[in-house]
Amino acid sequence: MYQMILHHNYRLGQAVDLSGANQHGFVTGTDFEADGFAVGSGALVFKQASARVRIPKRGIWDSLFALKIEVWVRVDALGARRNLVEGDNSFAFAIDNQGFLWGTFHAPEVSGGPLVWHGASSQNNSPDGLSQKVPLNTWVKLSFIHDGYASLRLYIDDKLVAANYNLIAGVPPVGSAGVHIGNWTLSDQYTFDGQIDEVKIYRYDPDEAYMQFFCRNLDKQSAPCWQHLFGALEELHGQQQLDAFIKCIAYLQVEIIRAVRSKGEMAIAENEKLTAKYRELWCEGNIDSAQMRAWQEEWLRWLKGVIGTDEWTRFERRFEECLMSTGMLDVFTKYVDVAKCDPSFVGYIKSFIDVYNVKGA
Amino acid sequence: MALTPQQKIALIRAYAPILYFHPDERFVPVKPSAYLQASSLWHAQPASDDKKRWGKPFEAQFPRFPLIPRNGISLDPTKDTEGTADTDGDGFKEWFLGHKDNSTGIYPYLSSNRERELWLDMAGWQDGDEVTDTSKNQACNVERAGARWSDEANLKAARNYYSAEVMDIDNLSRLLISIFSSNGIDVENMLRDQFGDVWAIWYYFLYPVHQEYLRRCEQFFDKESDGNYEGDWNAVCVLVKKPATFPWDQPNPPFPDPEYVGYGVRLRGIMDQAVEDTTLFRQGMIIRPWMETEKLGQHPRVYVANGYHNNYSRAGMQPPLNATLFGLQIEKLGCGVTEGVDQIIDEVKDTWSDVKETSKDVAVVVAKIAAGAKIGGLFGAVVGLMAGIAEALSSSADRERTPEEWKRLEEEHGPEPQRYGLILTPPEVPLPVKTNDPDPAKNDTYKSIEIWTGDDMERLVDRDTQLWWPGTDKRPGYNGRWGLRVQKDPMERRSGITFPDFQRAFLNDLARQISKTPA
Repeated sequence: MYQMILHHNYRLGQAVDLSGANQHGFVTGTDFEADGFAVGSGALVFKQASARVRIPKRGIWDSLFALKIEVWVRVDALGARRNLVEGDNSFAFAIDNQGFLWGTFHAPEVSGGPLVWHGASSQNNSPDGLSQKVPLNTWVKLSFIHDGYASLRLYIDDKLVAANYNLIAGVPPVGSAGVHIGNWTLSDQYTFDGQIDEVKIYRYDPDEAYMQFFCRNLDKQSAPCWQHLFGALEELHGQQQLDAFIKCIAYLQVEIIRAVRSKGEMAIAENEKLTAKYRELWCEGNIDSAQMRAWQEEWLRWLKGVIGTDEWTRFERRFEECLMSTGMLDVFTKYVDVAKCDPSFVGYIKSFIDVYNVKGA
Repeated sequence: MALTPQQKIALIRAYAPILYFHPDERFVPVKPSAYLQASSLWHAQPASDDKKRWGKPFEAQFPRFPLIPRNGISLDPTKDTEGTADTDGDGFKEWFLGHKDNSTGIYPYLSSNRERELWLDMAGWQDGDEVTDTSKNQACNVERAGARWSDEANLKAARNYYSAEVMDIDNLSRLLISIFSSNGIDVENMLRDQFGDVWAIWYYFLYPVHQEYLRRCEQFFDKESDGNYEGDWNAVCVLVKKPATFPWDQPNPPFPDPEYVGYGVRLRGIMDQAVEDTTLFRQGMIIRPWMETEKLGQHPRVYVANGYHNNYSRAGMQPPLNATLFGLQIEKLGCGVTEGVDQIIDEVKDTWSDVKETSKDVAVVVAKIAAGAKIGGLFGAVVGLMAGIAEALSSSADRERTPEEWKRLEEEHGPEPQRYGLILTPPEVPLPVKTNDPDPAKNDTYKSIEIWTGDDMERLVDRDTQLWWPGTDKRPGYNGRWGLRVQKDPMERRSGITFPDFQRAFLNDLARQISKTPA
């Protein structure tokens, strides 16, 4: 789900972006050490108040939704907040004056609420109840992962040290001041004290769904068929009900995923396991097989269990409302037909209907 | 001191590449001026894949006509007749490409932008030359393009050609300032620190047609390819450190070995939303240190991918570029299946800005709902939603794409080692193959070896007098597309391209190369 949009290694002291997304940075006020966490890896030394790497605001920072940050740092001293990476009016990843790790973002904390900075810290949101501090004078990898839906998790050397699973919004666009590494976005404050060797930033991968959908080998019959289906949607465009339906589904889908990912680490891990199996079956083309049916049964049972019966029922009703209020059920049954050209998909859907009816009964 | 044309030519000849083509390759690099003069010039107002926006007359009526008919373009300022005369008696009236409208100060056949876009039509569309109310105009005409360059004497004579340009550090500095002053990194100092003063020697290749073999798609559709377009530019760059004594000065030391070679690869269709500067990121350069390249003397061996015309330092199948550096456009993977819905999603997603990043997840979910509804009515729609949610939940998993997934996306077919088609070579290397091994199996095979054609002075890029190079604020030049526009092409996969910004791509990728590994 993550797409890398920035990778600096400071090997020669310049903030050259190796990710291919052209997010080079301006380096100011830093010194350079040839050796970082490895001999010859290069690192920027942050000592002056103005020390920072500034990445100008560009279009790529308008569409984040999910955000993953990894930084390799060596902290020399605390005594004040030490910024790792901050995006103007969007997100902040920092160490506080006591050494606790903080990850926040600027969005509503409750439905309909105002924009506020909130997130997780290794002091207040430790998964095991034990507060964790960033160690000083040693190289350490620090990570921030907001999944876009419900969770924000922080890691020290890949160990989970903070988690908040109750989020209701993704990471918003970065403001005009851009992204700053090792300093604040608006003035010389919260300057990092120590060395930064490497920074990687990822966002939500907008193409992941297509990647998965088309990893299944379509054939000469089914590919034009799906093209026709997508083409039929295009022909419908302009009818207000299609726009309304797409919007309705967009929000419903996000809420269902949020409902799953808000249930904590175990639910997230189980989702990883089940979806990995799904991807395997789908990509291999075994979509109307006994294994897929077994997967459908297991997944549906798990999904209803993790979401809860009442919430599940609410989602079902909302979906029916999406269909009925827009009149799209009639439209789809008239316009679109993959039954004749993709029998495997028909088998997949019919199997799902059986499983759904049994489980729903 | 600036280099003289003769000194530039000496450098160009010293490092001229040898191109090895796949045995199935149909197109070879051609002379840009011949290509231009053999084309018609169209405009779209505004830029669009909708034929209603193309050509003359401006009112929405058919048929539509080009600004300049085929074979009517002239590069000779003395023939600025605006189509009123056939001054050279070749049977076609002439329009001077650099014609200036004195009332507006505009160059109507050079200036191109999104409001009024110019494009060349060299071989017409698959369904003919006309743009009528019933014409499809959805694909370029590969067969006809091939026929023109093999049958028409003047075009046949213009094959096997490259253009070349030498930039020294002063040119590079100006370019670097223009590129990187807004990007932060001090590449000029990085380059100077690494190399001192350098020459960048560029070799440009124009192919009549780009053939994009979407291998999985070949199985799907009753046509050979789905990504073909007219007018395909590519390039190779050789970066040479300036010696203390130049080769043309006493005592005439040999030309120094290059430091790096940049192999141009077309990253057509890179995700627009992923990067702001699509011009830069649709053109990539693979940078290789000289010691890692294959060469004969100081002439780099360049292996050209069949149809794509991407350049590689090694023969054989070419795996996709490092996916963590470049995200291939995913629509390519879907073989254009989703183009329709992509357009819809692009238009409506701004109305749900807080979750717009999930828009392609939504497209898949809606498609599955629609398919499910047809199969099983309401229940089918509900499980279609479930099926779509399974996809979306999988998208939300905490993972990054594996290299194996990327490998499946696309591979390019370079010539297999020692099994070549045409080989284009400079006269200094007349036999760029191995033929003398006692074991015949160890010798190279090839279809033919030909020497690069063209006059050295003529191939030397002169942006002040050769109107076909892109113009700037200070100097007129052709900024339009080098191939025809086609309909139903919202992602611009099958329409001709503008001259790529190779230099920006090279410097950007060189900066990354230097940062990644010790020089």
